[in-house]
Amino acid sequence: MSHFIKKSLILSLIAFPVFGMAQTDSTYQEEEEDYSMYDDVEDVGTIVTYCSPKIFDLSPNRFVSLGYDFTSGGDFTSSNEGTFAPDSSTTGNQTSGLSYHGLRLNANIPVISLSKFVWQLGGGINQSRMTIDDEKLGTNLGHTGLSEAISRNLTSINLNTTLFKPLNENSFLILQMLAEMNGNYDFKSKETTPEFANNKYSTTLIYGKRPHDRLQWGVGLSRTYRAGELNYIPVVMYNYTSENRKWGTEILFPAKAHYRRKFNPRNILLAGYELEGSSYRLYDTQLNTQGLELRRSEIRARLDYQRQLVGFLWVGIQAGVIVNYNFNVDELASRDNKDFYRGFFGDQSLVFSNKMSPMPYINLTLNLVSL
Amino acid sequence: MKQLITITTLLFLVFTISSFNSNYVAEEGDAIIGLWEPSSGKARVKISKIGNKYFGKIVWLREPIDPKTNKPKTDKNNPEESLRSVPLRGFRMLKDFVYSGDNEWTGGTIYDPESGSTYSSTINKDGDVLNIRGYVGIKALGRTDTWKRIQLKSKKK
Repeated sequence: MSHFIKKSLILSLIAFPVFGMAQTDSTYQEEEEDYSMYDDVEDVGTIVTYCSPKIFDLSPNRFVSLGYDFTSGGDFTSSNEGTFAPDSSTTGNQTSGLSYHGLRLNANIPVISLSKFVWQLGGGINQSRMTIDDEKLGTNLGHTGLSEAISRNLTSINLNTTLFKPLNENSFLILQMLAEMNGNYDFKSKETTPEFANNKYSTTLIYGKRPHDRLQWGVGLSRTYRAGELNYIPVVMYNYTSENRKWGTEILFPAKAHYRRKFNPRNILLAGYELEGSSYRLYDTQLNTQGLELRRSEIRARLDYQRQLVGFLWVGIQAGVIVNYNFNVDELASRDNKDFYRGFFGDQSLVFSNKMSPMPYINLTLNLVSL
Repeated sequence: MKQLITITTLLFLVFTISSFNSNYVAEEGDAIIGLWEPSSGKARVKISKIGNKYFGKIVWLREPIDPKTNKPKTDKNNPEESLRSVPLRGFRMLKDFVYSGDNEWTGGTIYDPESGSTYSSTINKDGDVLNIRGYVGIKALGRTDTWKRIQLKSKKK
């Protein structure tokens, strides 16, 4: 009896872990099967088919991006403080050296990401630490006053959201909204703390088509500060991938346009431009006019090389030339601090009429991406 | 001797209860087994069980032939060069899912043949529809695709 019990115990101790353990074998090979049997099927569940927000081989979507931006030196030419017509012929002749660099940290998180609806929420901080060398200029009050205000660094903190709503299998709507707090603020005193009333708001609505997996186009309207000051402009989106999937385009005109060359899915090169800019409030200046807005906009003509480091961690290196589009200053105090629309034909005068010479730049980023 | 009998009986009971419970969980988990079609309609995936885990392989492609080579499509975007010649039809794109109760399968991965990326993944079943979420690191950084159940015409569910 005791021998039987002992045997039972030993057997149960051996058998228990064997039966209780998971029997997993990832290398399990299934039998060959006739796949033609899956040609003819019928639905049991029902879903509505929607178009995807992406096409083949677009550059990776960045969830988190940490980067740094450097420019080499260029010339900053400024007028005196005064009243100037909004055209380049009035640019002054006070010139000093200018360069800048700064951190760029941005995140874009999908809050809802379903086949029928995508909602992304993002935010970021972008700095331009300005160095203006105007020692040789003496004491021209207008120019040095503006230089002093800009030299306290320009910061942009933003919140943004993107909604993608597919309407059916091949058409969609995109709504983007952006709120920015821009200026030479530093939170060190009441005078240099930003005010929410000075925030800038942009929005873009696009209606688009996605005829197939390699093409996505759309048209829309945008309220934007990319040209430095408030503008209402039409936009055209054209994302395309060639049939051999080696090259394509990524265009959201006029904000950006790039030719894309794919060496392999983890190694791509973009060549093109992006128009970057916004309006920055200048706080605590020593100037006569107040409520000043620096209308900053620059065209970044560049090569942008992106490659996988490991897993979903990618590195990006941009190199190119910054071409100034706008660096003028408007005064809003006499307009109850309300922004205005000048457009391409408005004649509202400027307080400073400025220029920057083209300057080379480089931008390095580390990105957590989704392909 | 009494002690020995008690231990044996206890072990037998524990084994019986745990196997009854795991059988019950396994039956619930098996609800995912079958044929499914992603929202794009470009493929059909057969989910089956190996051991106590669930796997899904591509059994049908809307465009099975690569127009460039005129041969059956292969996994040409795979980051591992040696796997780029593996045919896509028959490829196991869902791996290692475990049923964790409440119509949810977790701990698996989903492979996207269009980018060659493998994402962490969870599956949630809602009737004859699967919500499959692929994500990077944390669930918040991901995207959910909806798959519908299909069946062979000659065979009832």
